[in-house]
Amino acid sequence: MRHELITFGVSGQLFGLDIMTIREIRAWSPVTRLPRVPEYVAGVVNLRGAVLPVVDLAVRLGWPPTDATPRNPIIVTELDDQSRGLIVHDVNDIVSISAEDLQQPETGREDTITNFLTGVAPLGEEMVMVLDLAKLMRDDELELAA
Amino acid sequence: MAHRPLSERLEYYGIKARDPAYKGVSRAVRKRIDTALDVFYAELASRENLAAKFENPEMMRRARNAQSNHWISVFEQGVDDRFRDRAAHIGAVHARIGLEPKWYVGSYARLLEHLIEEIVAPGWKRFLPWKRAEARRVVALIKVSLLDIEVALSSYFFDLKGKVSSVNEGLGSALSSLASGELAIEPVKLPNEYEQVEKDFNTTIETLQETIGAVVQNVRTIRTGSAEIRSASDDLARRTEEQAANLEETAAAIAETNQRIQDTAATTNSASGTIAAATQIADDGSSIVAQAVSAMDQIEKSSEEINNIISVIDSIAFQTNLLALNAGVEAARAGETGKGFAVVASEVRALAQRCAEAADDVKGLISASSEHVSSGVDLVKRSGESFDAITKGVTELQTSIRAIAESTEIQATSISQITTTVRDLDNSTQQNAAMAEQCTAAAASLASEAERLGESVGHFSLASHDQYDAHQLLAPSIAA
Repeated sequence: MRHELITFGVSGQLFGLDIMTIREIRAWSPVTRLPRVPEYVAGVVNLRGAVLPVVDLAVRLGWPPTDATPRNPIIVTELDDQSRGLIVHDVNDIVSISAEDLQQPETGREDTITNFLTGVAPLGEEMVMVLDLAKLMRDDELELAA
Repeated sequence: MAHRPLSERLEYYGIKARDPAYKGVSRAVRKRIDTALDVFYAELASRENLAAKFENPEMMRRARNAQSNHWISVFEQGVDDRFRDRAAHIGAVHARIGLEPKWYVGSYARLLEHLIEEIVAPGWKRFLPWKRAEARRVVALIKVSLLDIEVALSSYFFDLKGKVSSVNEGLGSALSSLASGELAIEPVKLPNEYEQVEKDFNTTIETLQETIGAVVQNVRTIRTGSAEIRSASDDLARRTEEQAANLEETAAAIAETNQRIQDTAATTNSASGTIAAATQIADDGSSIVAQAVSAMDQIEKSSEEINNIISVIDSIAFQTNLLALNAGVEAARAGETGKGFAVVASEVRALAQRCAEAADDVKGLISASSEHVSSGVDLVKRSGESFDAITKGVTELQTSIRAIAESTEIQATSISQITTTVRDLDNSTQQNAAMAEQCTAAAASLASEAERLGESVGHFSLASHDQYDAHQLLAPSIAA
């Protein structure tokens, strides 16, 4: 069994998302900031008439916020019929990895990233951290925002 | 023989220049003189010692005629100066031929015998015994008187002769010494009558000694002087020669310097030309720099435009990449049916990525080019400043070259003056050399003259106590 991933970079680290969870990838456009939302919520954008909440993935992963430009793509994901935008630094590729290569991260680690990962897989000379979209989106406040 | 006034004698003798008695005597003389002279000369010729006084019979005949004329004339013309002249002449002839007074006076005695006879007992009266006795008495008186006169005179002459020969001996030996060059002689002693002669002679010898001594001393001085002159003129000649050689070298050096100065002038001219060209080039350089700066500006502007275009391309590549990714996502969602489409999307994405990379490369290149242009602009500006500095330096150089040219001109003038001076010096040196030669020749001639003079005075020997001894003084010099 193989996983098809979209790989992308955030703060110099390579991440991956299952391609089936992705609706589209679009260029950044100015976001409308919202009051009383978590820090990692950058705001909302108009996506063809629909309001799309956008998450700054860097902040969500516990890093400094992204100073977004039109060069920062927004990956539009869909989970349980809910669309979410993720601000990333760049989009790399569509890759296919073997299920056996996907290794579980060390458990018990206290850092934020580990909690969001499905696993880690080698990709060429690099390591790609495969994110679990459900874990990323599990947040009451986000729900509120939506 | 002193010719004392005849009148004094006439007075003393008690006779007159003219007397009536002379007429009678004249008659007697005319009548008997020839006979008397014939007898006398026959007698004279018969005596060998007397005849030898006459060179030949012709001379004797002339003497006889003169005698006859003398006797006739005196009693016809009177006892005057003519008489005295003739008598003196006859006496001089006798002295010349060595006829002693005794013979002359004796001859008169013989001659007078005839004349007295003619006067006392002329003509037939000679046959009268008393007349003849009277004549014989007068003759005896006259003859004895004449003999007495002759003896007395001879005695007088003998004494005189003695004195003369004493003078001859004294002066003769002294003069003989002088003739042989012997100046160191004792003062001569002469009879009292010759006191003045003695004094004058001794003074003369003394003066001669002093003079010759002084001459010897002078010769030595002249010789030393001429040697010094010769040495000095030799020195002068040598130095003049050296001077001439030095002058020649100087002239050559000056000529070379002149050549150098000409070269310098030529070089300066050519440098002036080069500097003018360099100024032109520097000016051109300045304008080229300005053009370069403007070109750099253009390049910068173009770079900006290219950057803008690249941004557009990059943006398009970015969009294309996103589109391709979205296509990939759609293809993945489509599952098996989207497989082919996924491949196309992947290709498009690859192209977009290459496009983006190329745009990035171009951007990098443009950025580097911009930096280069920037640094180029800076460099060009600095070269512009350098050109300005060069222009300034060249201008200063031109001023310096002009100063050098002026200096060279002045040098050339100076060299020309020096050349003239050296030529004058050369002329003077030539004249000096000629003069030194003349000097040497003159010194040599002087030395040889001094030598000859030395030899001449070398014949004289001076008193040994005298400081001027010609032999001693001149010997070393002659040896030298």
